[in-house]
Amino acid sequence: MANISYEGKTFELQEDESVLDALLRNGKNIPNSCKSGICLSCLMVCTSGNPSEESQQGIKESRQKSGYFKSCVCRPEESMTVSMAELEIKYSSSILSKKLLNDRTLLIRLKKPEGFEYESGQFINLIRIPDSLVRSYSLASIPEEDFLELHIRYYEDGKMSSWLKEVAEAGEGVELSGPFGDCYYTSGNEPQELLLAGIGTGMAPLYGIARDAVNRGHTGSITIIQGAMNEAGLYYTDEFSKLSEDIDCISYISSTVDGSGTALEGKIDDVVKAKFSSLKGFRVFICGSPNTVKRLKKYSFLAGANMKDIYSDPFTPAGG
Amino acid sequence: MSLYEKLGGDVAVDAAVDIFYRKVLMDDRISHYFDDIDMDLQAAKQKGFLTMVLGGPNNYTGKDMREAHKHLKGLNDTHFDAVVENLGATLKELGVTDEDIAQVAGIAESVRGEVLNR
Repeated sequence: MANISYEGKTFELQEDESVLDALLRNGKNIPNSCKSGICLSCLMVCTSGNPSEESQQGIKESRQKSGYFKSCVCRPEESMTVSMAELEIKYSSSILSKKLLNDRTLLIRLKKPEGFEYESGQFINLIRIPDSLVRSYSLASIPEEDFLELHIRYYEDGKMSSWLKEVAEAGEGVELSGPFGDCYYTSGNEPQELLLAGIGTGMAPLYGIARDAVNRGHTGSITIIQGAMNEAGLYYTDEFSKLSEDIDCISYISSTVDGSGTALEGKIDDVVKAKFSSLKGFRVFICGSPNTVKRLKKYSFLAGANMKDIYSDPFTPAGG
Repeated sequence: MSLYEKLGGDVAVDAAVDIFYRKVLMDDRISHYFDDIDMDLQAAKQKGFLTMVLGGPNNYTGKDMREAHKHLKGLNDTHFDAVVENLGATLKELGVTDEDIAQVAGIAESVRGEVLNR
């Protein structure tokens, strides 16, 4: 079995165990959140040995070369020496306002910190100050706005979301790091047709991306498809409807599996398939639960979208 | 001049990967092997494979090929043949001559033993 050396001590990895899990098991306090290689909060540096290819996916090439890797998805077969990655820059912010969008979705607006720059659709790590609890949330706002907007899925046993819903008030200080992620609009092909499909709080980045595309002079059609189990799971339908009324190239479709509300009936996969039998030439943005993202990504590709034109952001619950 | 250069290098291989990967995912004989795989990671690997068989710059090693496939249960010659067939059809679509396709298939053939772990 491989060994992990950290802070001068050596720990043995158990069968199929990640570097992160091994360190946590040995009582080491390593920041982490999603445990699926997405949020980057468990980023570490390998000073000897080789991090797995998977554990370096999505990390800037220059940093890969310096040995940065995601400890939660690294299950090495050979021994490694690791240390904490240089801390990401943390920005100070505070809660400006909060509001319930439906019974499971919370809207939070944060003060945009001085010098914080991002692309619409990227995500941040929100950090609670007293105990450094970290969770990742996508940005629904656009850079032109002077606040950062988050749509937060509320879980009764969710440490961050229940705190935000029940305890935190406007004025509460928080920290954030980022931005992260590559699910955003880039200029250069304004007439291209866009499909933006999401479920749950996957609509947050899509709300940002659609408005950002328009602000950057996008001219091709932009179709936004929102999916939910039932009417109660939909939110921001007025905001999306208003976008489609105000902006010629945007159209908006909401759908629910049980057909409740004024929405189209069916699973979002089926709605996308019925609307677009071919996605050749499209740029596709897909955000939501990992399984839905995976299925829609595969469908988009098989329906003709180029691999490089498919952007996705799978939302992985942090588990508590 | 390698076929890699003739086709147009890196950009052409990206296009070839899209065609090839789509064929593989739609091929019932082998698609189940790709069900639980991260698509971006897989596309990157296929790009490495295509670059290698087309004679482009690559750091391919047989060890990687063996490691990458040895956990796939029931992998046999039929599956390997299916991949080579999809590779040929991809190149045909890109206008590659039969003669060049045969040459590429020959290079692919050279890793059969590693892929099937024997």
